[in-house]
Amino acid sequence: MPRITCEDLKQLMDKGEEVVVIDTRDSGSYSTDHIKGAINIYYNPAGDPIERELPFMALPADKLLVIYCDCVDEADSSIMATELKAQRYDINNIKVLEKGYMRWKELDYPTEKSEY
Amino acid sequence: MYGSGIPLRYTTFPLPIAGVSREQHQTYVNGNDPVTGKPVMPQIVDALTKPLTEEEQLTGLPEGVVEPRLLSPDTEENLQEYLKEKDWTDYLPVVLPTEERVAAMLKGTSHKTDELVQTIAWPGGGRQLTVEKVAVSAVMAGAKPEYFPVILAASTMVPFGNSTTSMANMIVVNGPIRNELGMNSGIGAMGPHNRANSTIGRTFTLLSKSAGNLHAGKTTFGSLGSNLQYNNLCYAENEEALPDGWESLSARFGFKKEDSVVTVGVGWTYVSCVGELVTTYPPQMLIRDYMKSLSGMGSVACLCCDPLVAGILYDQGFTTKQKLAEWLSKNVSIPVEQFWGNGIITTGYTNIALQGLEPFATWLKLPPGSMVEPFNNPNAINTVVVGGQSNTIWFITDFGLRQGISVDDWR
Repeated sequence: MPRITCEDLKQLMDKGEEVVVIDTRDSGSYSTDHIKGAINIYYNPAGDPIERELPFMALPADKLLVIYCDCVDEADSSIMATELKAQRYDINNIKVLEKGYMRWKELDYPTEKSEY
Repeated sequence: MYGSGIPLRYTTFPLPIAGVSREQHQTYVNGNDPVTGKPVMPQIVDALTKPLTEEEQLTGLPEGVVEPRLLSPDTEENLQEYLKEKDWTDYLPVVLPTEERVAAMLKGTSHKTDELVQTIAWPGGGRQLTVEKVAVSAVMAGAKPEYFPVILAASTMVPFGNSTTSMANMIVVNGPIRNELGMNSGIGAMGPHNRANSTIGRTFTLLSKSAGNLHAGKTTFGSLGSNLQYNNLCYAENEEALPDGWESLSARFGFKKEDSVVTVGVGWTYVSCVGELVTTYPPQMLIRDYMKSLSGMGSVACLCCDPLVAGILYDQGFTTKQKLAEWLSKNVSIPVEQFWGNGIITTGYTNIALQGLEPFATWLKLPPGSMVEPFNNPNAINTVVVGGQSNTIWFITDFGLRQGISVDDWR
């Protein structure tokens, strides 16, 4: 799956490019903090696949989707990206965030809390 | 319960959750778990406080229940009954999958008997769906060995949707394999009139119930169920009757004309136009009107239309399927309260709308009466041409078609 670095994502966001950033962690982790502007679609590989896929359908097909997790080798975000590709999202519009949320935090880039 | 690869303990609540009062919910909390029969709250406290059992300390994805490869010899009547008792059939008679019949089915592919098609992880642990197991269901459904590559390709998408709603599937076949198998894309293609259409679709159901472990009231809870699950709307596209410039469904997914492809869709709704077209109201207008009754989930719609309808649409200026999709995308609008009034939308979209995803974040704030265009992604609106040109009939559906799967890879 194609990757994007945190630096490149930050640059795109600073330029005001239309990017949908997806946090694949559980809702508790997302609420505590997440990349500013990200939405939360929890990736549960052992859960009901239909339940997992429903939120995918809300994602715009004409915008860049950047997916991140906080696991080793971006495992969850890579699998979600593969599933999105199978749903016929254009692979050129899907990127996995390299080194994930841990790297974003290391760089001290903007994060936010959420009540949702 | 050790079932998801981590030692989770579950408490089950009765259904329905939707459409009942908070007081009713309270009775669930005060009542018993319908699976274990034990009081809910003490069970939750126990789950949170008691030490893990040996089984709960296991890690990794659990093995699903493995049934014996062979059953003991018995009479045909008893074996038919046994398969029903196991809930491995659709309650119509099946062809008994003897070793000889399964071996004959396996000759329909070059793939190895024990090759893994997929691991079905949910519900109830990892079940290994092998080529041989697919062959068993194909025999039971009454399929011929030459159908087997299509069945194997479709089986990568098993099982069918598991929901308390009436979720169903659509299976569309494109390419040369349609004619090799004598599939029906003409008169009655979507009815019970062709062996390949019928048995390929039926195999998907038998696999969903056996390998997919979907049993009503135990592991799947569709309140009404769906009659479409008997055959999963399995048919072939009438590629020979496509108007000039209209590409086949598989071509839209990037396949070539010589590729044989099966596409599996997931959806709920299947609405017939009922009568023939009239000259005073162009077909795209009536299709637009009918689409207003769909949820708009994922901007998804799939039009299944007779070649006669396709020809009239072409004459209306829709020289490609994409042009029709773009027109429908712009012209179907509904009041915003109708959009959010559908539970599948509220459940699926509200949270991400609150988190800021557009256009839903804006739609969530609109006052009642504001109009929105729920089919805002034309690429999610597909058209499949099927039928025998005996009338100008079409169906509008909300089946979301996934990426096509190569049948040739399973020959």
